[in-house]
Amino acid sequence: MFRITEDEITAQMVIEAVEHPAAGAIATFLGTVRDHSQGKRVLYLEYDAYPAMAEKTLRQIGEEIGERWGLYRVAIVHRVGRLEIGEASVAIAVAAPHRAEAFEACRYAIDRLKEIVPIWKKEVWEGGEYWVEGGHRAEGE
Amino acid sequence: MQVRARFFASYREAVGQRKLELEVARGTTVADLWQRLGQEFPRLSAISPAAAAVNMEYVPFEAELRDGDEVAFLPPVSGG
Repeated sequence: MFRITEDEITAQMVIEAVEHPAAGAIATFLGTVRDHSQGKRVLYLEYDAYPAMAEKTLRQIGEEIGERWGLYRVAIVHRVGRLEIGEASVAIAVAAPHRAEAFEACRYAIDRLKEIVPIWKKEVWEGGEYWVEGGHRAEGE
Repeated sequence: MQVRARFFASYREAVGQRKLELEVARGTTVADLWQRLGQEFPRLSAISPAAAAVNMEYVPFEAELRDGDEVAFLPPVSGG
């Protein structure tokens, strides 16, 4: 399961997508909306994406994990649109025979997502908003 | 020939649109197209784009466009 969605996402949906009798471990990662950034109070986030290419690059990350670690099942779902504080923006699950590889591959998935998947986050504060670009911020309107 | 340009995040706000259908000359590169768009949309001209994709594959800016291509200009990604 590699999907961009406007709907609410949960850890349970990605766990169910990777469950497998050969798995001895399922590692999960949930990214959630934080109420502050750089010392300012964030009101909400807005995510934009290039959905078809984002799903394609998510699938590519799944394939990279398969090549690097072997028999794995991976699911990654990223939400777009307006997200409130505390809501999940991304959910990842990796099923593997043993826990060490499950943790490693799950970490790899979120790190690669932040490198290559065309998704962008706008932070909205009281009286301002910024598109986060890589590690930097671009002035918004 | 005809291409479709797509814009996201801060680039979308600079253009004011998500998509444009454009007529371009044969031999036009991704970089040429960005430059032309900068003349039409002054707010774009201040930006040097981080990355581009043609038909959903990352490409270098020297890549030549073909009829029917979808070219996307991508700010540095910030998902997660």
